[in-house]
Amino acid sequence: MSGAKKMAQQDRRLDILVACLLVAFISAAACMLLGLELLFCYAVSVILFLSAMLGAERRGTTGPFKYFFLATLLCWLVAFSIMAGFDIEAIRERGYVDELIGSLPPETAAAVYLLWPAPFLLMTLPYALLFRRNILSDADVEAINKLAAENRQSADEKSV
Amino acid sequence: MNSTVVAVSVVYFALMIAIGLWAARRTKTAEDYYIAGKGMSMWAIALATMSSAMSGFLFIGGPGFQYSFGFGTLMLTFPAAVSFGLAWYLLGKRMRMLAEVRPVVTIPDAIHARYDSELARGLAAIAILLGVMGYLATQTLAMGYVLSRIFDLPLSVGVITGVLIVTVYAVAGGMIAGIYTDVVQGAIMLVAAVLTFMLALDVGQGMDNMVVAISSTDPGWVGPFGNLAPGVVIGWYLVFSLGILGQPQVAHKFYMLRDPAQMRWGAVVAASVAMITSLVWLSLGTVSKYLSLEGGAPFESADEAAPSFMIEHAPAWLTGIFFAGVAAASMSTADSFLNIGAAALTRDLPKAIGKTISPQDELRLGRIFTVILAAVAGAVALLSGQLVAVLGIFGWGTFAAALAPALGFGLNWRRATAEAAVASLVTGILLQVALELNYQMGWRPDLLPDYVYRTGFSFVMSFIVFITVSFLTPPRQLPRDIDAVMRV
Repeated sequence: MSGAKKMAQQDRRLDILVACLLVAFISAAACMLLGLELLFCYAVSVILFLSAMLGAERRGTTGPFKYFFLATLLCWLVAFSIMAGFDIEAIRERGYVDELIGSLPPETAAAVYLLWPAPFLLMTLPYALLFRRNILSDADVEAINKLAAENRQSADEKSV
Repeated sequence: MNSTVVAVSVVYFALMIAIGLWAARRTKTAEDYYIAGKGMSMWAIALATMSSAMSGFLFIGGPGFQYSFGFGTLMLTFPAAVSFGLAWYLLGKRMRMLAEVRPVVTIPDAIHARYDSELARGLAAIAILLGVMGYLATQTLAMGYVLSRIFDLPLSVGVITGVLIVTVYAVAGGMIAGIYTDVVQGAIMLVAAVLTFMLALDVGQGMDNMVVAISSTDPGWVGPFGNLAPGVVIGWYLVFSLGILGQPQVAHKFYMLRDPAQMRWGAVVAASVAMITSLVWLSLGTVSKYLSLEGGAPFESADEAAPSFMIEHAPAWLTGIFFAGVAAASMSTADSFLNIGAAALTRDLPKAIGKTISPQDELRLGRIFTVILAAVAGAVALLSGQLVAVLGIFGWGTFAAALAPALGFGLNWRRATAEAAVASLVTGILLQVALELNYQMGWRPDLLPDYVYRTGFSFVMSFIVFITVSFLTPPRQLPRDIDAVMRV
């Protein structure tokens, strides 16, 4: 496949990804305004997932990042679903919280122990671990440096 | 205040001024002044990014907020785990590589390089100036509050002293001083947060004990959304995660990195330090609530919860570190914004209207505008009363709603157009101003349901406008170097 064709294909892939983001943002706005809390949570999770995919997209692929991001998305969906199950009336009836996980009510524990560390371990950490292969290689830096040198030379010529 | 607390604080402030004066000798050009001469290490950038993103709100407002509303408020700090990652994925290499191929120094420079639009550059500069004034006023007030508590001064004297200290090191050393003071401040915040967390758990006899006690009188407080509307809490999670893409104090730090390869561990360092410092919010808010239910004296305002706990329960040296941590958090945010605001006035707005300023004048004017901005922020903090809180909320939201789509998505999506950037900048600025003013003035209280986070709405609408307009307008051929940066 020619270089131009390949690039056009990569651009189309990005367009589709951003179109999905548009659907997610519109869904989030609708759920926000209609007070559909759990659906709003899911829309937010999808927005964050797709945004990370957009950032990790490189030459038409997200490489191994997609698996990490899918795992993060799953954590968000599970955590938000558990959080939505918090039953304040049940605690009022008993007079206190009778079940604690990691010193917190289960629904709050889902927020603290899933929503907090999971995105760090599954989204932020892989950036560092896969940096050389999937974010920025020496060849990338070299290519940009070459362009920068050309730009500087052309600016010097203009000023002369 | 105890003499040990005063001594620790005096040492801290002297250290900040010393760093400023040392950095002044290394600041020779406008590039040094605004982006630290592109000579910073990964550790410096990661810590500075973290400390300028986490303001004084972390130590005072956050715990007070949790004391009032419960665990739901943690959704303002949980995003740290993902936001720094998103900033590095979507902005990191693009911003750094842009600084290689173009003479970019500010965020409006990046917007201009990407869209070749002076209008977009000018709107970005206006959004930045509006946000900077809001942020600066609140940080100035926080500094004044801390200084007045430590040295038993009137608030006005505290504000003026705080402004003077930040201005001295920001004017003298520019961004080089800003980065190195941020590193020291980030380290102080980390130590203060960890020690305070341990103390709070000790005083409250463990998290289990506090949670069970609180749940018996206020069960909603211990729930995952606290005593808040879930829609508002989830809106926070979205805006404080993805909204980082529009925060200039974070985004422009990528220009300053010495070697692009050093970007690798930056997000991990910034996120992990931010997550650890967030423990202060979780622990102080919980222990203050617990102690108030156990018969403690009520607070005049929720913001008193954290300082009062430290003064009553912590040893003097730790109280000193805590107050230095609060001052550090406010100052590190304020100095970044002084620099960013000065750049908008000296560089971005003149360029947007076709005026060119020589590099020497840019440095001189940058210093003059830093002083003017600091003076205006101090005056706004002292004179505007309730409005300061409005401006603070407005600042972060304006950056997120106005800049995040054009910068964060625009640098990763080649189909994005200049028309879309302009439309989303206008949408973000106008919705932020209109919704916040409407709410604060009480013109149309029912304009949005009370379960909707106003900034969340502006933020989402700005993205919708950006993507829709991009699809509806014809894309332009990108210059070769910008196309290369976006394909790396």
